[in-house]
Amino acid sequence: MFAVIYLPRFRLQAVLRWDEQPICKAVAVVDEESATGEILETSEAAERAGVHAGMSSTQAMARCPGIGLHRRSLGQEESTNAALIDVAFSATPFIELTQPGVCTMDLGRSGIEHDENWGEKMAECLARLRLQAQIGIAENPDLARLAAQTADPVLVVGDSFSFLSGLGINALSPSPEVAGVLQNWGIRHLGELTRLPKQQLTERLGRGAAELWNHAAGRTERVLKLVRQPETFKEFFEFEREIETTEPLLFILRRLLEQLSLRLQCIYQVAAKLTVTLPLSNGTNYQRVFTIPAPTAEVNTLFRILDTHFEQLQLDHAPVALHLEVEPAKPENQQFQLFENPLRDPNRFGETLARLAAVVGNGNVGVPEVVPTHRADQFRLKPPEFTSSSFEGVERSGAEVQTGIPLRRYRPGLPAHVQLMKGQPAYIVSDQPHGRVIAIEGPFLRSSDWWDSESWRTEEWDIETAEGIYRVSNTNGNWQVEGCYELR
Amino acid sequence: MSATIVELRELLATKYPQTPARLEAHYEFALSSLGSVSFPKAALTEVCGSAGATMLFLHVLFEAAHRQKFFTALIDGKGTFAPESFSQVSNLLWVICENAEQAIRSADLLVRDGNLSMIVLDLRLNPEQQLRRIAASSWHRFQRLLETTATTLVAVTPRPLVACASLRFQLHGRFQLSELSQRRNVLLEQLELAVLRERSSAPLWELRTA
Repeated sequence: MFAVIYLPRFRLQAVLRWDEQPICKAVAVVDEESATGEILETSEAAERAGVHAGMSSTQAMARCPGIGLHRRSLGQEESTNAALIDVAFSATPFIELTQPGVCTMDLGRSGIEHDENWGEKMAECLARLRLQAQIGIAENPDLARLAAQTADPVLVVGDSFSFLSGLGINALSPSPEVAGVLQNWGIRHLGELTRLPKQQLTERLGRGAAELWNHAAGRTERVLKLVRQPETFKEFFEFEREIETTEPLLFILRRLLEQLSLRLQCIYQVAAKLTVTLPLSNGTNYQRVFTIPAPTAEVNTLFRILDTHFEQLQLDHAPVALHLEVEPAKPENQQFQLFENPLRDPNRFGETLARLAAVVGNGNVGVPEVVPTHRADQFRLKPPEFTSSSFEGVERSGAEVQTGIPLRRYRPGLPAHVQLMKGQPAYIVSDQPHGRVIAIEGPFLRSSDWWDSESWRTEEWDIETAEGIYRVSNTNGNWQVEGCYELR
Repeated sequence: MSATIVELRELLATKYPQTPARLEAHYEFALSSLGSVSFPKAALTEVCGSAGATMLFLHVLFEAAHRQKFFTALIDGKGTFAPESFSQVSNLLWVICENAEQAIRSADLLVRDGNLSMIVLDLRLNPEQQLRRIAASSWHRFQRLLETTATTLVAVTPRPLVACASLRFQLHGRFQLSELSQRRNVLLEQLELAVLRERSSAPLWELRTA
């Protein structure tokens, strides 16, 4: 058995998916590429007012003055197709995207019970994704598609002969020539068509008529062109006009997250990474990747992470669209040991880190890692992971970490004037130590990179004055106070 | 972490003292021969002292935190922390601040977060002018926030500053340059500890002789 999910008025649904405006109003999708602004698809209300696909926008507005015209969005159509596929994948991996807005599923190979309840559940699932779907279930893909086109919202075809007999010829979209001939012959329904002998019909109307007859008889068999499950989940929204504040951006971002979360839940996965891309009015893109510390599909948690960043975001140019991409992962089933001290809420911690970065600046928060070099004060800050592996690092050893008082380093070092006596500091003038040097240790010579033009050489001294104990350095005659060990 | 789990751990630690050191480690800090003093959990502790004495104290604190496997944050009020002077900092979140105001805001965020067991707020080298600008209400707010978490906030200050500290102790030590070549545990022996204030009925982190 096969099932087809059919999204009627697909292009219109894709455009209106994020709108509060109900589709029951007179609305239409316009092709902006065409010179006349050709109408591509209309709502039922617009059709009742006399607006049809193929008209120009001005004609449509003349016939229906209150009509809402929306430009076609290929990006939103793509995300709508992706959402459709995700829902289909929740039922079976044997999926074909027959055409935009039409998805065929092979139910027989996945052992799904193909009843009306199942179809209704699928339709409900799509309704949560703000998509209105019709579902047809039948013994072959083409029959299932015909069933989907006439379903309300689910139709299971048990007796294909009686189902097809009642369908109009137009359901098979025959070519205009064939349709004209059949009209003249008085053939209105598929049942009437199948009563004609197939061979003689083919002799008179050509091969196209034979295919039409096979479809009408429900005797077509074809192999599905299967699609692979997507590795990322994408949603796209195109703003009608450039946005200047974060509120509308966050509003849409939340909507997109809700949809992506539902799509993830359909296939029992969670979000591990979010990528937000904002195409800007000057043609460039702003992109930011958010790694989710504890992968989740919970909308509030994911939104808080984005909200923290976008609340403080300032861009030189206004965004014109919004791409949101989610990299899925399997949910972690981790049971902590009784005596383990993990982070209680890694996502909240991630959010706190983002807020901290906003307070103290990016690059001023993290886990320090000492860079293995002779140059002083060389470290980098890594984003904290804080898992049990955080305690497995190699312990640094040596005199610097085992002896003396840990240094408090001035960043940048304080410039100083040092008076030497017998080649050793005897008097220092600077903002902090100022006076006679009581005791000294050193010099401690450091140098490196002698093999290229970046070579450097410095000498360090530990000095004691009446104010405390300090480290001073001399690089090419420039003295500076590097830090202090003790202050009095 | 719920109180039940904490109680359960305490009960197990009492009943089965032979269990791995990690069990009891939560409640102990070996600080050489400073004597026995206890850290109040979920409360504010203030440590006053000279720059050198407080750095030795931080050295002990971070080593113990790493050994006992819990995550710590250092809010560096003046950005003077030198990671190369410490043996193991892989469990340490370092927040580099420009001034005391940034440090207080950072502490506020981390205390509210409640994920870390210990937060050290180092204001030892911040100018007096900046320290005077810290509103007393900030410390009271921290105290209230901490009561709802399992986090301990340790403020390192040059002089008594935190009116609502549950525990305040002063570290005295006068070091000479010639002593810098000595091992840190020898230098720790020279520290003197004076408890200036102790006001807590909360569970305590033990800071005791090794």
